[in-house]
Amino acid sequence: MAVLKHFNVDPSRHNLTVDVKFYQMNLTSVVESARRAEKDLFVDDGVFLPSWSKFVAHPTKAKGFFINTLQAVFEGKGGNDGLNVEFQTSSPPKVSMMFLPGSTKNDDFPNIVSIAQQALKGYKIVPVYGEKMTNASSEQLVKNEIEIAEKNSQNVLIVSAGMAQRSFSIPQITHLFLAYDSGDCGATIQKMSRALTPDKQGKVGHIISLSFNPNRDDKFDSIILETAQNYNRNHRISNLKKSLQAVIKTVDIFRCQEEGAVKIEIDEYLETIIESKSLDRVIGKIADLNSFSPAEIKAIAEGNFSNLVKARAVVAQNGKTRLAPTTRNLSTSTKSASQKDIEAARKVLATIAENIDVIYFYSNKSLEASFEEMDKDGIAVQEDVKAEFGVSYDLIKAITIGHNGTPPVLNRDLLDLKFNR
Amino acid sequence: MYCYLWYEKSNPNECKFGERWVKKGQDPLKEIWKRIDDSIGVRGDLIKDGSIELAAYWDVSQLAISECPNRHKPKGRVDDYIRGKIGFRKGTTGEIHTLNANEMAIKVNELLIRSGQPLPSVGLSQNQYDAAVNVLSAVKENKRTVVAELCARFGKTIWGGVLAREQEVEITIVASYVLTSFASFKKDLSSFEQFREFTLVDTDTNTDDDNWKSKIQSALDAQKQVIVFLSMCGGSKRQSKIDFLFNLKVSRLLLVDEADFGVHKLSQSEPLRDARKPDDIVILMTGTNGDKAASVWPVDHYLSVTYPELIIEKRITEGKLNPSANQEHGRA
Repeated sequence: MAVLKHFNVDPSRHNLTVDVKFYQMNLTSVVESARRAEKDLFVDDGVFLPSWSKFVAHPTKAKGFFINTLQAVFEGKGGNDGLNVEFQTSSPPKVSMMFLPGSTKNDDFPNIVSIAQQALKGYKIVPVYGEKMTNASSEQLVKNEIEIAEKNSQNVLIVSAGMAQRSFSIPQITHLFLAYDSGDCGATIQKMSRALTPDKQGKVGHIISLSFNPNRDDKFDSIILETAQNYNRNHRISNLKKSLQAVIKTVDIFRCQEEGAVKIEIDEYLETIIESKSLDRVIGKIADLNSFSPAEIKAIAEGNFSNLVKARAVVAQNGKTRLAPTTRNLSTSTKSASQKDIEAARKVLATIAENIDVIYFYSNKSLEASFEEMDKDGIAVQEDVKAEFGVSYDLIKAITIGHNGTPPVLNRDLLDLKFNR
Repeated sequence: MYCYLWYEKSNPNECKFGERWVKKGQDPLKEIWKRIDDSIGVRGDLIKDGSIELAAYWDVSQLAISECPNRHKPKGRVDDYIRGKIGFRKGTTGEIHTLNANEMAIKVNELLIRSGQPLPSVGLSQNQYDAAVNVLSAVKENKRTVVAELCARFGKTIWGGVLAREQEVEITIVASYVLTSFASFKKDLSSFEQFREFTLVDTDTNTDDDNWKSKIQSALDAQKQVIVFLSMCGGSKRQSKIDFLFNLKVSRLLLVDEADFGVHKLSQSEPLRDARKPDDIVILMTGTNGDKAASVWPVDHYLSVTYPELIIEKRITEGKLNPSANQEHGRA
């Protein structure tokens, strides 16, 4: 193995890494309580579906819900200890940060801040938003506000909808609240990192997902599964479950309950991510599309097998299409389409992952065996598969087990977790 | 003889530069904090509550012995000798400098390098070391465009310097749309012995074109490794800077910092992508969204380090996790 000529490992550097703990907090009880006063809260077209985006769209309407949530979380009011963050984390939230949905309008921000201030009278609420504020200026502003609050013995809650999610280093932040429904994995990781700026020795960053439906909440799963994949590769472990075990052993995930935070163990974690389909969504979200050409990604996004075959033939002939001269003439519109294609391709991959049991249980042996049997059984069964998945049988097969010597698009280690628990 | 630099977090644009004589067997860091504590008198609470940040400290003995030997003694005022060369002094006799602590530290580093003072060596975290080996091995296999998705707190500025040093490229271009990142690069790449032969050149702070160009040329002539900072914010001179840097007949490493932010846009990445020569090594460094960063580059190698991986290494160091319990083929 290669070694560096001029550098050595200094183990003391690892002491600078701030420990992190993840918590899932279930907001169902505050929603129910708020709905007793406001029956049509979170109801659209007769359908009751609570979400953070609905809250920020009409903050005044959901004022009771937000006040109850903040008071339960930060002050332990309302009699539900499952929401009392100090009780759950065993750490007082002196300086916290909360990220609301990116869809929060600047015009609504003052109202949201005013509701928060009304709810938490002992806190200094520091909003980070607005056209005049920049990332750089927000950091200095927040530092000043924290200093003032500390002098007045006040706790601080920084509220943002997206600003200050990168290059924003406030060492005092220990509690980070994710108050949005779902989002881009990258942005979520950036947001989480705001609680990981080193401070005093022994600092722990507590990341709390405020969730209306913990079973659908996959904010932590991407980072956990990606870490397991890397650990698997870097430590040359053949079984992803073993890697996942090492990750779960190191990075604690807790379910917040009335009796206190309960650590989720590996078997329960696996069970949860499979049952809740979170694993399938994550397989789509973190599929490594870097190694595919734009044409291949477009073909996957469109569910078009023949275009995928054509795109792969070009790759086989020219090396990576990305290296081909055509990429030098990309127009801005082509570039945006490519971003759209990436999103669409990820959705197709998640859908295939979600329904892959249908294929697996055809042979009940392996995905390869199932495809072999379905190939033999002919067009009728392949049409059934197409109807179930919404994309062609050949594309599903190519994406799942590879095609003509090219590797599968779906991460088989992650996919196989579903069948080898 | 040690010098130190501290500032109050509430006022990062002024800093205090001072000295401390450290006897054999004493811990320099402890002694420096003692000195700071003494100097702020009754406001020791500022240290306890974390209001005071120690920005940097240096062993300046070699400089003192060679340049001002009569000052190389307790209370010898080596700090005054150095501050006289740095400037930005508040008042005529003060020990406060009206300069951001980071910038002040860079100036002290540059002075120490010029004076021949040995700098401290930088050690790497296991994650940094492994990631550097990973990329350098890929380069050996003729991979030339790498996405490095490196989590927060990974230490990517030092890591970028490691790649430049180990690969022994003649010129390293650090391109970014987020200009604050240049300050971190400058501080880290001027602080350590391994980077001593680096010449840092900012194409923006030197408004006179010929100045930065001639600085690069002189450094190359002196066979020094050059690190150039290139702002990717739009501007009339950006293209001519790119043309100059990429037309130099030298081995080249391009580090695109925060590659998923701003620089991923076609208008930002296209000039760089078009200017790079086939053998240039391009590292697209990003915290997240590697695919966004990679969308317009011909990526042939991908590396990712997540935050929990840093924790895993911490646990291994603490002896709380045994990788060999899971490992099947020895540690990578």
